[in-house]
Amino acid sequence: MEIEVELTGQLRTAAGRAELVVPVEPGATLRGLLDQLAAATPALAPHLFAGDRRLQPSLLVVVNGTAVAAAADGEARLLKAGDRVGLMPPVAGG
Amino acid sequence: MTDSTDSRPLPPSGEDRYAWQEAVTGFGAEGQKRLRDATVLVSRVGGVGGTAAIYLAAAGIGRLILAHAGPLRLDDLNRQILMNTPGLGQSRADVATATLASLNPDVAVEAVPENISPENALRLVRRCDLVVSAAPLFSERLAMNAAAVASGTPLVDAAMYDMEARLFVRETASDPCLACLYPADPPEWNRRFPVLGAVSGTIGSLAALAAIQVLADMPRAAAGRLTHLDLSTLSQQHVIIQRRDTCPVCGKPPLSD
Repeated sequence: MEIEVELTGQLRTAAGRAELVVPVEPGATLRGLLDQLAAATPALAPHLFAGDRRLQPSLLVVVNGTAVAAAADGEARLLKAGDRVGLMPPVAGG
Repeated sequence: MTDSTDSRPLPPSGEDRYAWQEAVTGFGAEGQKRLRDATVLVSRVGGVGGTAAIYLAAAGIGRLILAHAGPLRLDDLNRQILMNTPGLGQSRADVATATLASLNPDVAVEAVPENISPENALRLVRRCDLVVSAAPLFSERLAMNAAAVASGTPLVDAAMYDMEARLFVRETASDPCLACLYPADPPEWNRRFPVLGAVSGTIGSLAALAAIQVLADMPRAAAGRLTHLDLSTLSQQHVIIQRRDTCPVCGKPPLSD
């Protein structure tokens, strides 16, 4: 199945694009999607994961318009075909 | 909490610099008075905060406290509309103060040539009815947030990066705070960010508007949402932020007066 991923902020700069369509296996989790993204585009990794491979605490993950807590249960969320995942790293430009 | 209110009557409409805004839906003479009686802290007064400050001054805010350290640099001038070329090398806070005084001498403007920190935030925030958070470092934004939560002061947080911008408003103790969104100073944030003045000006204007709406008690969007604008496509999304009961900042009760 395919998951639409919207990148914002420094993730968009690192990837060089605003949107991706990512093929994933049925039963894929949110964490699995992020691991896949980081593996395909290593420049995304520091914005997605802290040094201990936990999700960056200030990364806002939005699934179908709703924020998902960056906790273990959020990462374990199962993705469905047609899900749209927004990745919003911290922004402080002033 | 704030300086004493001004008991002078407002000038009659038609002779007043605010004549055209009193007819704005939900604003009126009462809104104008609320603005005049209000004090707002803006940190810092660069591309975003400077724009917020200029529109707050234009609208007739009673007092502005501007917190921004350091001298004005040439590469500030693509976006920092309170600044000007003759002011290069001078204190940014002073240049900003002079610009605002020229626009509207009725506004009391106080220059604080310091950036917000845990050492000064509560002292400054306690004097205000609302704070506008627009510093390029999370350490300053989070210090402002902590002081706003501790003192029960509404906060408008405005930020941008490249062609995107974000707005977050916290009005009451039941709303999430900035630390619910950013639990700690994120090391992955790059202090040097791409910026067009028109983008920082856009979100700075929206920050001023959000502040005016809160202070004047106008109809307004719900607080506690992160509004994200993509100005390359003129698209927007609103993300509801859940208040975290375990938030180390707003999970505690506010200070009592």
